[in-house]
Amino acid sequence: MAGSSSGQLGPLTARADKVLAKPRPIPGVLAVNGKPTPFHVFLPGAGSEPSLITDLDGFVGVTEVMGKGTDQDGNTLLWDADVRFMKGLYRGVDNEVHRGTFGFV
Amino acid sequence: MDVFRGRFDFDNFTTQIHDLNPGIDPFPGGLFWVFRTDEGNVDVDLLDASASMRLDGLRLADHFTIPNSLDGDPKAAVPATLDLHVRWQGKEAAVDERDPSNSRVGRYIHSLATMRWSATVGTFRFEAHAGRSDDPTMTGFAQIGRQRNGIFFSGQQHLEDD
Repeated sequence: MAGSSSGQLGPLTARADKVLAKPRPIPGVLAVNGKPTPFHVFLPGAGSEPSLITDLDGFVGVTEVMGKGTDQDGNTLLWDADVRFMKGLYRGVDNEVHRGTFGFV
Repeated sequence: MDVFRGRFDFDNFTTQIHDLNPGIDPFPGGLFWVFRTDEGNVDVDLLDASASMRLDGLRLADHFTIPNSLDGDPKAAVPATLDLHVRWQGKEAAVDERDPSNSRVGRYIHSLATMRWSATVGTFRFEAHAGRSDDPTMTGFAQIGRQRNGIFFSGQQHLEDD
C-alpha cells in the first residue's frame, strides 16, 4: 500500500481556494428494519462504506468505540462513539475538485 | 458521541442522556454529522498502519438522544463543545474492497482504536476514562485506508456535465 502522511494523493490537482465548497453526501442511505431512511450514512463494519462524502479520492478512518467516563459530580457513565475522518481530494457542490479534511462524530 | 446512564439501550435509547453531533446539513438528506477541520488535525501514515485525529473545542450540539437528533428539531438541541483525540493502529494486513454498487474501491487496514475525549454542555462536564488500564476503551470496529468513490471510482477527475 502506498504510504502517505498528509495528502500526497497522486496526479490530480485541486483548487487552492480560501473558501472551499461543501462536499456532497454519499448517495446511499441507511436502512432500518429493511426500510430506507433519508440519512446518507452506513453503519461502521467490514465491507461498509466508511465515508460520508462522495466523489472522494483520499484517506479514511472509522472506529466505533465504547467505554466509561465521569461527569462533573463524579458519576460513572457509559459512552459509545462512531468517529471517522475523510481527507483528500473531493468534488464539491461547485463541481470543482478541492482538497479538504473532514470529520464525523 | 453518545452518553448513557446505567446501561446501554440501543433499541429504545431510554438510558441515553446526551447525543453530541454537528447536525445534518441540510436536514434530512444532506451531509450527515460531518464537519470540516484543519488538515493538520488528521495524520495518516499507512506505511506505519496508523492514523490520528485531534479536535480541540469543536462546537456541535447536544440532542440528548439519537431519536431527537434524527427528528431534526433544532429547538431540541443545545450548544456543546468537544475535545477529542483518537488514534488508530493497524493490527492486520491490508485488504482490498471493490464495491461497484456503491461506486467505491479501497484498501483498508483493520485496526485498534484508542480515544480520549471530553465534552461540555452547559453545566454538564464529561470526561472519558480512555487510557486507564483498569477501564480500557473497547474497540467495536476500526479501520483506516485509502479509497476512491463517486466520480473517482472510475478514474474520472471531473464530470463533463452534471
